[in-house]
Amino acid sequence: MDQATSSESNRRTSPVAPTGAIALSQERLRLLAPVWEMTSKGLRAMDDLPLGETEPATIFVWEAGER
Amino acid sequence: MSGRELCFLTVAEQGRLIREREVSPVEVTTSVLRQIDRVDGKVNSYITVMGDAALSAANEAEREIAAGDYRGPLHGIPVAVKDLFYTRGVRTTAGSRILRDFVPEEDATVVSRLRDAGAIIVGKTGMHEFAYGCTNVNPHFGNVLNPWDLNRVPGGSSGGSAAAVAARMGSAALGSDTGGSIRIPSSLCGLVGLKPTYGRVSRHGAIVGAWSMDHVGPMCRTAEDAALVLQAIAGRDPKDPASSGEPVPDYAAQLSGEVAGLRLAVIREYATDPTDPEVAAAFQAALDLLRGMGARVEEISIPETRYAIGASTAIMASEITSYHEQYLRERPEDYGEDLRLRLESGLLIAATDYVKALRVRRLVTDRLLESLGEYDALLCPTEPTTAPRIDQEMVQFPGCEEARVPALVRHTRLFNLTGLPALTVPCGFASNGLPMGLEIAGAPFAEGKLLRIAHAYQQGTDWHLRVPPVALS
Repeated sequence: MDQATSSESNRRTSPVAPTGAIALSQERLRLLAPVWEMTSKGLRAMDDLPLGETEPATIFVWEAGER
Repeated sequence: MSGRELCFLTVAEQGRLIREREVSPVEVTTSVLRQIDRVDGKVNSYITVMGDAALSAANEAEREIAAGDYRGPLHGIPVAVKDLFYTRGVRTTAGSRILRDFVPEEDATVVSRLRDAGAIIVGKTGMHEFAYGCTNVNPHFGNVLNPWDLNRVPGGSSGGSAAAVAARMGSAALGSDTGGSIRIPSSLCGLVGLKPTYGRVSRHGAIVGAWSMDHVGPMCRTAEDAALVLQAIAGRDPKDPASSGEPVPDYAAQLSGEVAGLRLAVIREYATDPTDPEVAAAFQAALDLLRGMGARVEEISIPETRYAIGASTAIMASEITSYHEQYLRERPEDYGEDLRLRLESGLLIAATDYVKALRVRRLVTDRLLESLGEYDALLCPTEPTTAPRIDQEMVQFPGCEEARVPALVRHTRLFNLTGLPALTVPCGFASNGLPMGLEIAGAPFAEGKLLRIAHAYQQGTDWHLRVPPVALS
């Protein structure tokens, strides 16, 4: 893929595979497949953890004796 | 002592000689700059060497000390900083094409604090592009090579900092650590690398990796040196919204050389997962040594550790891709292909997975804090393997193999996810001549205790005294 085509593929207005602020072309998605497979494997490993009522921990600053 | 020998001394040793006026900052800085001239053509640890500025600062330090204005143990000490820390008037590339010509107008807080302590900034070190990777294979500035074997990666993303200090091209260095980027290269290059508690050291002026997982810390040859550097850079910074106001203790004063009575826990899941047999043996030998010094070493199970990789992946990838969104939309071709793909993968993470990861973060953190209520520190091998070859995609373990990036971050990410302090200390050399590391983690703000354990361990071992052959060339 040459640079012009590469740049084109990531434009916000791309009609292919919308993913939020940036849409990826089919070509980029094809290249991304093995990377995403590895990423997804890690994400799905969380699925069997019972989280119950656990609340999210957002950005935190440690202070003495508390979080 | 010859000028050549000065760069082989530790920060503490150089500092003592400077304080006693047996050597001058100019002599020490010149020794390091000449070592860079001799060696860095083979290792490629620096993106920018600040030779003239360093000598000018060393001359100023020499004048101050001669006038009786001695600032402390870093006064006149040559230090390297990873090329993601802002340096006023000196380009700061983050190892990228996108920021190739970026020249900040101010210093990062940590750089400013080093200068205030009298340290001499000798240059900006190579890194994995935008600190998002752990090999230091870099398409824009060339690969940084491992000084112990030039066919192997130094680890990353602070690989240039590690290679420079290991090859005596800097007395100490600063690195950043979002998923292991201080500890991985420190382990693979035979150094002490400390990732402090989240909020302990300011991130202001460090180009962002992932806001909630970025940490800044020292990379040195000894725990004593790491204590001295941490002392200079730790503490509240109003410019960093995550900075903590927790008082900064005297770290060097805690280096008692004693571990008797400390309760240390081996994380079973990290000690029994696929590991190079030589790493496993070195780890066991380190435990035996600590036991022999009077520490109580036990094994505990923390099953939740298995969720740390997934949670840290979701958080890190989401935050990093968010930071890069504009560049990724407007200049995607300016990224190296491996980084571009990793950033694009961040676009695909569902919001529900991100929130799930934040919930896992709380659960895992609570579990670790529970363990740290009973133990002074947690132990595991920093890396399950020694440094992979540059062209090596898979790491072999008995009965299985694993892609090198997941293998290298397997034991480090947990402490970025939880924000708990962790360091690596050299614990041996494998038969291939490559160093191995022992990881020691603790409770929030327990850096002093971790350094105490590492220092005591180094008093009983001599791994940190070995010199990579390239440094002697």
